[in-house]
Amino acid sequence: MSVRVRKSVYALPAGDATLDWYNKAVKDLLSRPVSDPTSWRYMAGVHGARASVTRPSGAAGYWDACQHQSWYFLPWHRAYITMFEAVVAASVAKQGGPADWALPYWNYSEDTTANPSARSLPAAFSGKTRPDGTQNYLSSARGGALNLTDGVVSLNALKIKAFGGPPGGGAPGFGGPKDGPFHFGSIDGALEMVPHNVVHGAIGGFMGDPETAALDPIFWLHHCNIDRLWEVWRNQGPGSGWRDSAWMAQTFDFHDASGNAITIACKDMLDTTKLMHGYSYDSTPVATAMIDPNASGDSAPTQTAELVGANSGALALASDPVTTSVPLSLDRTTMSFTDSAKPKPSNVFLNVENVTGTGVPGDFLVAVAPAASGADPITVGVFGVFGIAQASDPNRSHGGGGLSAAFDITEFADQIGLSDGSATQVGVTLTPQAPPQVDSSAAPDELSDVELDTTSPTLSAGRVSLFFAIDPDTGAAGGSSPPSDPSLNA
Amino acid sequence: MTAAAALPARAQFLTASARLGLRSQVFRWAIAPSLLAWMGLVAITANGFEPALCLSSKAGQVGGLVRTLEASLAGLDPAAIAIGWGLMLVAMMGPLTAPMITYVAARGFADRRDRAVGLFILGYAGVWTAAAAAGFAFLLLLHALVPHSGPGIGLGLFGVAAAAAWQLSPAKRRALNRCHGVMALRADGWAADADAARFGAVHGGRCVRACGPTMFLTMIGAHGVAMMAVVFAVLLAERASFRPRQSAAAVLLLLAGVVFAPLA
Repeated sequence: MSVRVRKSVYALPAGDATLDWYNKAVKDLLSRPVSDPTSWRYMAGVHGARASVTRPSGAAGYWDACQHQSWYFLPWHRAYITMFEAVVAASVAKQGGPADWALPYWNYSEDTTANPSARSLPAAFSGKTRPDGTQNYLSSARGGALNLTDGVVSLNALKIKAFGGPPGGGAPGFGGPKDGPFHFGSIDGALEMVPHNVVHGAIGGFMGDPETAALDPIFWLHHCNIDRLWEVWRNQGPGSGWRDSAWMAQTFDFHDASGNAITIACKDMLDTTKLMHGYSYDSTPVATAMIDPNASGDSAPTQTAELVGANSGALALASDPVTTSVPLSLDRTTMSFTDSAKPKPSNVFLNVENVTGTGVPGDFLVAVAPAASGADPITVGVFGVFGIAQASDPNRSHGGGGLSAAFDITEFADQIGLSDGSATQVGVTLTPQAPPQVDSSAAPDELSDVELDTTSPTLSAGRVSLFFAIDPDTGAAGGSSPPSDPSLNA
Repeated sequence: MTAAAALPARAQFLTASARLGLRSQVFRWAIAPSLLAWMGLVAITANGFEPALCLSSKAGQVGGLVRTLEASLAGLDPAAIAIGWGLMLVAMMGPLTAPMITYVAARGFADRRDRAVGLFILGYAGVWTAAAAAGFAFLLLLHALVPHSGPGIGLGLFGVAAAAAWQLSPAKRRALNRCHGVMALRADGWAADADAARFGAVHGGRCVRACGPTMFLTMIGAHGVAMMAVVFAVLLAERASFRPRQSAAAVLLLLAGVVFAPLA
């Protein structure tokens, strides 16, 4: 059988039944008992479940397994959604649907001149009732207007050539820091932060919390798109930090469509046509580079990063913007833009470190102040706090250190006064955004018992710092122009 | 001839060393001291001396707790005990701190990395020294209180079983999770010094909580360099694992306890 082809949800032709069959499958999977590894609740629990949920017997080792804040984020979720696709496809086939059902993806980053609806939640996922009067199983507890902003769907992550980054203050890598595996780590990879985290946060409701996220049918289209973006990145050509024997050998445990336990290694996820039933994307070629796990030639991480300044303490983030000053010590660093005796940094990273919080707070914008007085702050990115409560819990897998992220601000080095060495400090403003207002009643009746985290949201940033980095691999990043969107979205 | 081969031998070694991270703070402050401590422990053992890691049994001691304790202490060499325990802590704890040393070094200014890591180690070692003193007192008291004869195999196996039970407990898992926690460190001046030392003490406390029971309970009877190596392997593996196999660790400790206890 040929591989399944995953299509853009907005490119499905009129009259296409992919989402109708998805709706029927969700209903079927919701009716299965939670102890069944192919049930909707069990599969969501594999990502994570609220502490109040009773774990089915045998779930240990399978539930609460999602990989975040490390370079296992992409492979784990690849296996996860492919396992899910197999289960849904089996349900669709059993109900008389097509034998080649494949998970669609939501390309929210698509050029809006080509698709004006790209940023909006696909219509089939809204409204508790379908046109025929039956319950809409694609509806879920979500928040807000569900129109994503350009910043939320930015594809700047694709500019990063290295797959894994050293877990320091430099580039976190496209896929995440070379660390883990762990359920929740501390530093988000570039793709994981934007668009992954921030799309989760913008949708809110079930999607806003890793412990309920996979209960929302849109979760799977979101992650299908993230998985596709991994293929887009791979098609750009290999960066370094890819062929790592520990990464290749790392395995994760799931269940297949028959409910049988399976173990999948990262090295078996490189050729999507051979992963379980096999799949490809409609407009993104199967990445042929980097498929052979035994090919030689990757080098050890070469990036070096160095602190050049940090603010003086933690910042509480409530509703108003908070500004802090990062004093710089440009004369004592081993890298310099102005001292020709020292190596010149290739990248500058603004780090927001050890962000901790409770509940489900909103994301926050990160902006730097230009050196010129009176100039408007430059927004350099958005910090998605998806999973902040888990990452802040000292009893959880990463000891409560919170989340950290590095924003590449190389292209603003001139404006900030770094390039000419004139800056003595950098002003940084963190602007909290309100979390989406959640409509819990929109969830299917079968999930009315699911408790959202209603803990009063709090948020605090432990430190704001600036790092210089020398990274041969990302030399083209930062100041260079991003890959053009049409080619990315083709 | 490659460019590397053209270099003088010493330069080649240094280049390779740098590539292998031998100049890193982790190597300097954790790995190298640990290697030296292991060599010291092995050397002491190979020369026929039992490292003074625990107490020689006082078979048949009677006459009340105070007299028993006095008798126990009388047979001990404080210097040997300090050296034995010191080597053990450096050997076992050094590699366990490696990820945090990397963190402290990476998050601080390059010109004060050694200072920050040194202060971190100071805080960490301070907590462990206090814990070791408490652990030693615990062992001393236990041996004085529980009458036993010969090498105390029964008591030793009880200790290993208790260590295995601790490994299986949810409390151990929570304690282990806390060992992975990091905190924001201020970067300069006295504040940076204070934060580095404080983080060392905090991490030391978490480390004692997670590893201390495993170590001290094991040391009730079964000890020696071989048993220490098994405990070390268990502690290192669980620190590095996404899903620590707590039951496997418990079984390994029990097996090792059975094998090594009679040697005690």
